[in-house]
Amino acid sequence: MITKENIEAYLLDLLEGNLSSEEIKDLEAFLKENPRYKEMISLYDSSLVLMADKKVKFEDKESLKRNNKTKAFYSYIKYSFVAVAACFILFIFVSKLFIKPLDNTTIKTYDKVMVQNTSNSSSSILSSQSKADKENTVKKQKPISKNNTKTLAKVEKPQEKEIPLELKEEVKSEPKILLSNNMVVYEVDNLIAYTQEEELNEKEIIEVDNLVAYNDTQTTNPLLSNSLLSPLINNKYVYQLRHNLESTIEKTQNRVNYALSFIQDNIKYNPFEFTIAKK
Amino acid sequence: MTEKEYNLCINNYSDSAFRFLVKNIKDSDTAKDILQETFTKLWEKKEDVEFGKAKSYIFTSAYHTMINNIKYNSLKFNIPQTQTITSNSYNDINEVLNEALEQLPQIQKASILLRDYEGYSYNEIGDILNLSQEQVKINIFRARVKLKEYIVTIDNVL
Repeated sequence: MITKENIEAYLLDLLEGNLSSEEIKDLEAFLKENPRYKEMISLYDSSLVLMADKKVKFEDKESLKRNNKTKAFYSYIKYSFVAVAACFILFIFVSKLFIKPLDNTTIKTYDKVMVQNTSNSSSSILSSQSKADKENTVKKQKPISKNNTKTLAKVEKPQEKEIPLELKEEVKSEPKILLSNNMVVYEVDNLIAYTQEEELNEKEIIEVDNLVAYNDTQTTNPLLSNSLLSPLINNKYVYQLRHNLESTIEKTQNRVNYALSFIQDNIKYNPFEFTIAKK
Repeated sequence: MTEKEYNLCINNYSDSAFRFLVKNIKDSDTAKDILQETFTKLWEKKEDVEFGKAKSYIFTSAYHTMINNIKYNSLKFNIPQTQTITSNSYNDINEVLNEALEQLPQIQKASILLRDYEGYSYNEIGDILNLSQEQVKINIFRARVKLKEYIVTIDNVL
């Protein structure tokens, strides 16, 4: 219903063409009764529309925005890098604590054995494994060669039933340690033999797992036929040591015997006199 | 409303809301503060406000914050709500209209700005300004009559 309080709303709808025919009739009737409101229609100008100034802009949009996910992402990336770095450092630390460096005694696969065989006897090969492995290795070994030619053998994985043997490069034998007085020390499976350098004969040098021994084909002692001991027993320098020791013992025994005989021959044993002399 | 939609609201509506506030209070710093407060409210209520109604929410919140701000300042500093523009240079009709706009009461100014600047319907303006549709139409009608009267007066003076 059109009243004096809402007439302006109806006039606005009239000017904007939003009134139905019935509402227009009601409005016309109202304006007839209240003619002073007709003047308001002429005062209204629908062309007076305010235009927004597009140059006026809010410049601080970014300060209002929320970037929680982006922040979380960058935070995640940052802490991931820290975590990875920490794990890496921890890994290095643990590996240094628990992982021991490999050495010849711990290598159980692909032990390289180079042998120069100079006799008809079985070769002297000894790997740098534990005693059990050594036994297995020796048992599984095949005779390398019975010819008097240079023969090289490569023994792979002692755990395998058949150890493939391949001809390889020539043996290079060098004294392990040079000492003064022309003494040369050889290390054979943690045992050391030594001799004078002049006595070296390169053709009779055996290299076993980078350890050098001398293959003495003259050894005939049946007590030394143990294959496990063969590299050492066949070693000329060990043999010489043993021989020297035996000769020293023999000399000492001879001297003792000589002394005893000298005493027996020259001093008459008298218990009474001995007692006096002792006093 | 998602975070992405919230940021989209900032891109789409912050400029128009800022213009609406600047036109009403003629103070860009205060307009910025009010706009920041408005978007803070929107973020806090983003779960309740649908993206389709976000623009209406922004203008409603901005308008009421502005009214509260005006009331607070008038009580505090005893500043008159309408200011008289004394500039005599009228280069185009838009400048005259802008000056005429300053002569309008706050509610009429807000109504006509929402209508002309943002193209809101009378119903939407009523929702924003918390008025009935009839009251919005009356305010806009009266505002346009006053604008024309102002222009005619200026023309007579010049």
